[in-house]
Amino acid sequence: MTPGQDGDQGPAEPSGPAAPGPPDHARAETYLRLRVEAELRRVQALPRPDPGELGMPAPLRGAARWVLPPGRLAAGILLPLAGQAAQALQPLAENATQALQPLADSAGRTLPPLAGNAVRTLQPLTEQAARTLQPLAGQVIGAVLPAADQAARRLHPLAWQAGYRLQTLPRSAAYRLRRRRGRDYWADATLSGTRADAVRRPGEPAADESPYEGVRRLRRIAHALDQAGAISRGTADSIVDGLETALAARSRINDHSLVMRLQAMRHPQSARAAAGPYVAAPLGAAVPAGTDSDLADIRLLTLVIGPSGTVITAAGRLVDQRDEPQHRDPWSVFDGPDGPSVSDDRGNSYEVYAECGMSDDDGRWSGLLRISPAPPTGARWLDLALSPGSPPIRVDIARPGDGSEPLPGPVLAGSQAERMIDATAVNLLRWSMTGEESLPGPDLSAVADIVTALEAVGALEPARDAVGCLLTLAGRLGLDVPPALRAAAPPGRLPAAWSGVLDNRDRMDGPRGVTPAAAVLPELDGTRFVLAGLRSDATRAELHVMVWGWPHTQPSVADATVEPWCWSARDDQGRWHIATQKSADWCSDDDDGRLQLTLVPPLHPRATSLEITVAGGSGQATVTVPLDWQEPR
Amino acid sequence: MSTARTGPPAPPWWALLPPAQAEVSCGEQTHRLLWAEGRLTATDHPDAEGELVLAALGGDRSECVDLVGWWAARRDDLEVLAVGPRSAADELTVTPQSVAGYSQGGWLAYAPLTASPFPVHAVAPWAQRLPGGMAVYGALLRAFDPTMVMRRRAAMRATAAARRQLAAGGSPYAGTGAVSFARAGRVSSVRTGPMRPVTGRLSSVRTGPMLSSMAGRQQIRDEMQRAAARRGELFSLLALGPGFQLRLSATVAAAWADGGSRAGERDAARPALVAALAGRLAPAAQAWLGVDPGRADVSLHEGAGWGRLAVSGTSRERRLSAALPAGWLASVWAAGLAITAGHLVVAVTAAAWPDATVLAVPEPGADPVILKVRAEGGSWTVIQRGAGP
Repeated sequence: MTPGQDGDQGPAEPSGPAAPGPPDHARAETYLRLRVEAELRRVQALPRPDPGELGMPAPLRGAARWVLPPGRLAAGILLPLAGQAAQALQPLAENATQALQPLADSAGRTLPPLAGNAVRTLQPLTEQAARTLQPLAGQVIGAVLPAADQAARRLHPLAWQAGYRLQTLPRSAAYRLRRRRGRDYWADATLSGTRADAVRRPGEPAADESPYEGVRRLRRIAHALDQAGAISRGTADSIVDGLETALAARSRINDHSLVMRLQAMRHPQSARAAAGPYVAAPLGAAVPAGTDSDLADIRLLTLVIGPSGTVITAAGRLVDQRDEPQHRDPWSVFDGPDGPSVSDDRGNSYEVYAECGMSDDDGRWSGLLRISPAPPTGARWLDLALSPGSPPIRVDIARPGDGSEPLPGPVLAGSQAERMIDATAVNLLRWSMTGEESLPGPDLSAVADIVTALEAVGALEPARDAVGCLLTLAGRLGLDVPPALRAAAPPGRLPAAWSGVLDNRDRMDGPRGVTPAAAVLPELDGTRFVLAGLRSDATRAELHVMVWGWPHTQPSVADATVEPWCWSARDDQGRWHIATQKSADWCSDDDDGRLQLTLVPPLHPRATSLEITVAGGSGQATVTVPLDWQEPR
Repeated sequence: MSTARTGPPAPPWWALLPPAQAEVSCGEQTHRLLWAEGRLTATDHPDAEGELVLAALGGDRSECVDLVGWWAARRDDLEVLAVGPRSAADELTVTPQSVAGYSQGGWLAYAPLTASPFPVHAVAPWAQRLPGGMAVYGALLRAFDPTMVMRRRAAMRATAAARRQLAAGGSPYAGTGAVSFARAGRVSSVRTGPMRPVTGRLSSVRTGPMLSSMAGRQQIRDEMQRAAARRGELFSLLALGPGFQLRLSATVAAAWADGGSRAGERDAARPALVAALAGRLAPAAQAWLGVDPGRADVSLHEGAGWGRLAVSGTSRERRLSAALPAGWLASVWAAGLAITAGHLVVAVTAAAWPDATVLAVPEPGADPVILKVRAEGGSWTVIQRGAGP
């Protein structure tokens, strides 16, 4: 029977491209549901790691021997007490998680890329696990016998998870090691990819993929279909939720995953950002950090007024980069009577307090001050005195461009599907320059999955050219391309921005310093961005952005989410930069969030301005900021 | 390929599903639930409906009556088909004990709800039990997450400052007109004291963010509890055992089949029904023809006749295309008839448990034949082979 006839909404596996046209929601939903069915079948065919069964790794069998029999016995006798004991045992369950994590990490570090001598290598792992888990099991039995059933139930899924991880360790350990080799990996990746693709059909997952990884893969596809407009987010999530529930009902994942999903509901999708006003006023004021602080050269960058309050971004550096930070209060300068004071043109005074701060491995520190309460409507300026008696810094908050005048709206950009593919390419570019482990790296299977799904539901057409560009980029980087991706489009011409990035990827000539880079961007998809500081060094730059109405994602599902924004920049010397998210911070009950974006390659040493573009679903917005470099260097 | 068939009306979907019963804990007692002729009843609660009404009014609830109520509420819920078994070999491991653990035992306690206004996790439940209690917990936080501590401390300082201003007589901006106090939500909801209504001169303080945040949080909490409760209800039903799992699946399929309570809305449910059919026909097709389950293309058959079957390709490339009605799940698959004596059963034409007359396809492309079958020893045996319909 031909797909599409007699009510058929699509094949289980697409045999060819769907007809172009607007996405058919029923087709996309059917496709996703059939992928879920296929995933359930795949998982059902996996061996079920069970601590009580033979075939389980020895250390976990040992733990099971200790924990399960008395646990089951106790369950029969003391079941009424089990619920009460659950809370008491939580630390033990967490202990088990913590105990297993270093075990997995240790294995990841010690296992060689090739698993030929896996048995010999697993032996110390086994002993380590036994040493780790047996005391824990003893603790469970001896100290909290009445609750042993609960312990067994808690350890049971943990052990299964560990079992899945141990089963896949040879692969993941090798993979991690290869990734660390940076560009040398590519030849190897090409070979292994070719081998894998020789036996895998398009869209088919790796044989050793765990149920958890499978759920993440399906959720990523579901979110991609949502972003491409082929399915609603609610439907997409409910379908993958159904898979999780089905797996939990078969003990293929533990029910903790379901609770984590419920947890994700605690973080609602942000409402559309309020109308404003939004103000970004440059400061550029140096602040002495004080002797009891970890920091040196604190500099206040930009004052930002938004609907949820007023903040000041700050940058600095750790005093001694050789040592671990001592976590002394970096804000001591703002404590006590000698702290800063703020007043406005109406005689109102404000309190300034530290909101948050973070530092990275290179000793760069950034933080946020909050001014409370918010300046009243109509206030023209704020005077910021950093210490009693010091001359105040006047911040104009009523000048043109403070948000009271309409900003130019976003211009049309490519489709959501196109932007998704572009985001993959940007990550690939960044990985090619930094080799960061947090990036997907050279594994194009995830984007191949997405492309396969878009093709199957007729939503790829707007992104076909982007796929072509991605293919060209992958070819230029010497990466292996999954056949499904290769079949989706002919190689296209590399965008000038990407070519520029590749041409400059080895440069280490960026200027050193910080600059306010204050700018308000027009609304994009209900989100408002305010640029609030830029830090540059030899190898990269970091852009600080305040956000309102941000569609942030709960961390537990974030790895399955397709990024909603694509940032890029170009300095006035013609050097292109890609921008990717370094960190994100938001308050669960506030509307505002904070992004840190990393720009690579570094800014041109003679650049005096930077044009920054963010693209979203409804278009893209561009703003140009001056580059007036200040310390800290 | 074969299609049309007309004839006498089909027997009810439950005709080949014999009565089933389960024992459940109900208070201090062990009670029985009985499923027969498409309905679940609590035999030890003769006035279950009355109990349900009383329970809705705040009276005592009983597990039996709850289960009957949940069953009724799920009779057309497509999530049942997404979660339920795909074949007899597809074992669900849900048990009453595991359900109790899921809904009460601690995973929810492990993820406690919190109204904390800080961008931090709730205080871990084990913190109070640490040697040294909260002091050690605080030290751990400072060591591992100083940002969080800083933020908490800063917010508390802001709270104190705001309270000082409030205690001093009201708004710090008396006489300045409209005052925006955008951080009111954070400040007022810090857990250092009871939340107070804003009164007097503070009437101009903008409390919208706080209230909407609280309302939103409560709404999310309610949604979480509803979602957890719904999942607990479904798992409780599945925990009744494989026989009930099949019967619940059949009940849902029947609701969306011709003549069912939701048949008129089938278009909207088509993707879910196609997936439900595919998930259940695929293993049957594998057992019947050796076709890779991933190569079974299934669609929903509408209208007269039993549907269509066709095979293309050879060897590993063999592909089965099938169109079957939603009712097939209820009357054929749930009864364990899908593959009988090397045939794919496509319809039940007459049924009087344990005997049935079915239409069965011996091989794709062939016309269906009539088989008279009987349930014996847990499987179906052909007792008479007939000609085509």
